[in-house]
Amino acid sequence: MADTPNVVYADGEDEASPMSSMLAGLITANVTQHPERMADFKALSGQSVAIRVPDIEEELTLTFAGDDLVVRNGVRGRPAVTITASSDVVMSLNLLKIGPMGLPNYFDENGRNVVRAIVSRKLKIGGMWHLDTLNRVTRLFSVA
Amino acid sequence: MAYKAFSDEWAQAYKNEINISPVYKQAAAAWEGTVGLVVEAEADKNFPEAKGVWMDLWHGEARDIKIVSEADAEKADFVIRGPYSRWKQVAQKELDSTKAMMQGKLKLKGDLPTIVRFTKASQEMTECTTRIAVEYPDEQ
Repeated sequence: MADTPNVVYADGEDEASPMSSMLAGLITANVTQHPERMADFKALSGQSVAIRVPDIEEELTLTFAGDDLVVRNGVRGRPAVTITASSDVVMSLNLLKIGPMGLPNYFDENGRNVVRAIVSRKLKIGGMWHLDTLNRVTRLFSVA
Repeated sequence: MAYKAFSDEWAQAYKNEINISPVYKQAAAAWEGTVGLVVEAEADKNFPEAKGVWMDLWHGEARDIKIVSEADAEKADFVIRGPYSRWKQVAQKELDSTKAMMQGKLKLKGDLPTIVRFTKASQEMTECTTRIAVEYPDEQ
């Protein structure tokens, strides 16, 4: 098993949007700093997560494939989870702390902000019932 | 008093502004590291040569902020690079710096998780620039 994800830009690295490069870089750096999260990465194999960020007109799909993180521009295939939010809310997801049992902490200030964003529909999560997927993705994004 | 953009006097005023900000002090309490801003030249905006801004930031304090060469700014732990007009937009709050990085309007070099962890501190640093009166070279 590789120690860190291998990022594959399906549309070509030059064509990758800055945001997709940034999120892929974030996941890679995060797994490098927290090697135990590679287990989450591997467990997501075969699943995709789409992220739509309307305020900067960006959409991307991250597909987990073994050691590979395949990055595509736009929403492709049938993602298990689709996150739609403005860029600042997407960044706030990265600040969710991981609490006991490896679950995101929704009770501190950042967690409450995320819950408020969901309630106010500033953050829409399609496929929320894929809780295991959502929690694993949150762990991969969390830098807190 | 207005300071010439990216001049030594501006750098000193910026440092002072950061150091009196309680918001920055709290948000950057755990920050350690240098940040280099590269302001790329735009001759048509009367900004003919690239400049660097060197920021030595440590646990909520700006220990030093000075104008340096582009090459020296590149030696910082974190480097953010963009053309003069983009930085002007950021300083005037017409462009959010985090959003600009997500859009590739500003380019970041350095450990991404660390930068993301300190988003609030970086937003306050932008706020600090807006509290300084600045003379921009393309407005002279």
